[in-house]
Amino acid sequence: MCWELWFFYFFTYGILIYSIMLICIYLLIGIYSVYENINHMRKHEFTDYSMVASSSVVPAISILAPAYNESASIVENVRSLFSIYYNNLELIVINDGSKDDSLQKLIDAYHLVKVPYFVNERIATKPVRGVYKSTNAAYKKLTVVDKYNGGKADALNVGLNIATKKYVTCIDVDCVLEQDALLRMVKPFMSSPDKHVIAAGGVIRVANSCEVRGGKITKVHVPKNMLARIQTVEYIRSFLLGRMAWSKLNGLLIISGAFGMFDKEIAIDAGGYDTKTVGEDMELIVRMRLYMEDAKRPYAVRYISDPLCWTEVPTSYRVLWRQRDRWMRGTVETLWTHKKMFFNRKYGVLGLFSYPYWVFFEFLAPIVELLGWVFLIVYAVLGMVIWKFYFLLLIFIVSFGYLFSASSILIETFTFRQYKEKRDVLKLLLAVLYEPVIFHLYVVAAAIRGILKILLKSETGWGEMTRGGFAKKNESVKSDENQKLQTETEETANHVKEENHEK
Amino acid sequence: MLLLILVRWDLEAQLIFFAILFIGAVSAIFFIAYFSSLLMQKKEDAILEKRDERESLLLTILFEENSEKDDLLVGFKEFNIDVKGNGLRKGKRKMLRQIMIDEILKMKKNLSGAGLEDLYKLYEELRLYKDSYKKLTNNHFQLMVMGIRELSEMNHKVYYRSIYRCTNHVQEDVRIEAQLAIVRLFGVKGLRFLSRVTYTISEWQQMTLLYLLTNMKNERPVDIERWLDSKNDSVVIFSLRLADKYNCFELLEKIGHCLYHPNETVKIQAVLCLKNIYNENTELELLAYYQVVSKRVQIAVLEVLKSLATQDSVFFLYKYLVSCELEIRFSIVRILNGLCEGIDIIRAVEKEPEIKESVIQMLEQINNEKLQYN
Repeated sequence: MCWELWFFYFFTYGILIYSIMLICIYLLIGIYSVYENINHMRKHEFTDYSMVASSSVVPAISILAPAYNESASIVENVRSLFSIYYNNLELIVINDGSKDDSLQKLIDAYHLVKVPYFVNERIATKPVRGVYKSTNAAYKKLTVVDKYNGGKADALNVGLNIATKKYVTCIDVDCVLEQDALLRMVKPFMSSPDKHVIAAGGVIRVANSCEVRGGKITKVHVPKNMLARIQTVEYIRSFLLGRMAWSKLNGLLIISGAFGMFDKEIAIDAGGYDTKTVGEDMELIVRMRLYMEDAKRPYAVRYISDPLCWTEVPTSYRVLWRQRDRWMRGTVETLWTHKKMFFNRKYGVLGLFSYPYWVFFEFLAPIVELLGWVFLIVYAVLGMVIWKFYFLLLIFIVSFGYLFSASSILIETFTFRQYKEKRDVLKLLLAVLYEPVIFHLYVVAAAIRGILKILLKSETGWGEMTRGGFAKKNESVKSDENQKLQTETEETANHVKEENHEK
Repeated sequence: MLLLILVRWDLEAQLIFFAILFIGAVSAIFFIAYFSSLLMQKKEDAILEKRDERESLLLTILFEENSEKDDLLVGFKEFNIDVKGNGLRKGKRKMLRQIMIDEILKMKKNLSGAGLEDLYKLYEELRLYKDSYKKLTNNHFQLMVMGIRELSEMNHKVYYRSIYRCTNHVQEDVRIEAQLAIVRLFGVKGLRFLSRVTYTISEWQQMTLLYLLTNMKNERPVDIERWLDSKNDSVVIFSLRLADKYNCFELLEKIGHCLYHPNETVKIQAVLCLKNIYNENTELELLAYYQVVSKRVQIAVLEVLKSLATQDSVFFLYKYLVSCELEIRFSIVRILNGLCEGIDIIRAVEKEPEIKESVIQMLEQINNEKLQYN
């Protein structure tokens, strides 16, 4: 057989086998996730969180909220954090060297004064310029730290150094939390007597177009913007049909940076957030797990399937591009840093399943897809494509995607039912149809760009995604015009920020 | 059979078959997703309507201040009997009664005194406890949990034996609910399940039990001393918490034994207990203990010394001020600051400029904290 034929068979059947494996893995994980989600719902249906919310015996929690150039919304966002239903907490806002008047706004709004403060620098960070506390006893839970700019990871490390409580919750300052989110999140830490729970994460939901009043989501709507709507489907699919299974297998490698809770001591002992990666949330989890594995201590990373945190997703392709590019860079950097885990029996589920899964089906998926497209074009030019088979296979793949996404909407309908209006489900189902057409290709392209950046070492910074914040639209539903305006603001702000913020 | 037919087909036909099958499945899922959302909405609305109906009836019965109250109650009971007698489907009747129970439980949260008593009476008179007990005897854990909760929330003690048996149930959720139920029903006396429980009582469960006990009569559990000897470490930890909560000074010696328990969490809990339960020797004993324990326990010891330390501790604390980690040093400085002048503390570390610098910062913070909200 000539080499061209070998080449042809290798790639044709290679990609086919890869696709079949991908589908099988997705199906297995999806089914297991659904089963575990239903179990979780049944188990927690009777937990009365309100009973212990006001109790003084709840464990102490420090909330860490890094902020960079959030002047437009910082005051309202902090106010919304004050509305969290939890008795024993401290709120630490870290101003990461903002170039706008974020700090001044906080000082004015919360009557802050600079206080002498001893920072126990257990993790090395950029210097702290000052620590501020309120003169008003109503805000005594609030601590604002002003530091030199060092990126999100560095800001969170300062938070870890300053936090005085046993557990730390790291959140994006503009996220909207469910009132009982902390109670739900802290429960796994206190309910696993046999294993030390080192971290827990919850479901992140899309807040675009939702009604937000007084820092709370009062009415859930499907986003009006199609891009945000597709991401809603993507979030539902990812959280409902993926994470729970990994959590149950104790193989979860990521806790969303938007809202996650950690055992502070373990996070610090593991070295805190890595400031050299853009995927600091995933990297920290992997490192904490490695730390526990190496210490041979029984541990778990838990996931709560209840919707706990609402965040805005990008409404413009440009911002989405940056986000997905960054996500892929973060994934690659983390996987590369911890490559010793790859099929390493020493790390059990982590080394034999989770890590290889991320390598093969998260990191390699866009590359294989790109190869698929390239070979399709080459074979088409050479007249080697049997179009009948091609279209039939294409129908399979696209149908599977539809099937998977639509199933996630179905599961959502039967379980959490966040979208209650009649037309909402229809809108989401239509978004499912639209997803593979442009969105998927765009996301794959962004991921490929991320990989190329890593290979060419052309960019290493965070390139943060900043949102318009809820403050402006805090008391009313965001109008379409506002959305457009916000998108433009986001883009301009991002452009300026990326220039300033990248290290 | 289908497989046999499929095998005989050529590849193209097989692919077409599967493509049609997939498209069919996708369409089916789309339709099911959409229509099930509509159906569920409809069902939810119907249940909501029934709930509103029952709620308003309940409100009328409970808060009607005129002579018609009793008539209404009779009528309401008849309404239920009617529902039973009119040949309604068993499922629907069950659903209506469950709605009733849910409404009663919901209402219970906002009632006290005579209103609450009326609600208990209603639960009894409508024999809703039978529905709850049926759930308790079911094999499905979720139903068992529901049954246990309903019976205990409605203060129905007749089936307490069945509930008590569940306090060491193999199914965690049932066990947890039964333990809470038995405490809800009998207060501190209900804690006797601690003598038989072999499974670990999680931190969350301990917290919930303590919270339940907070809202009950201030009786003291009598068996704490026995529970402190339990082979179940979680029972020992919980007993230490109980001893602390109820200020059991007579257990000081026993708590002292727990300081040398093999489990570190027990040690820490025992140390924390000494914050409230102590005698004149405790301080010195803790100082001696400090030298032989791990860092986690040391931090707990310092936490207790913040309130117990006297001049007797000063020499000891100075000794450790130089050699310890920053986190521990901060705690020591905090204790020393309450016992002596700041300048003396600084003098003690005069020879170590780096340590001196950190001690000065710590003192500044501590003093500022004192001033901040005073």
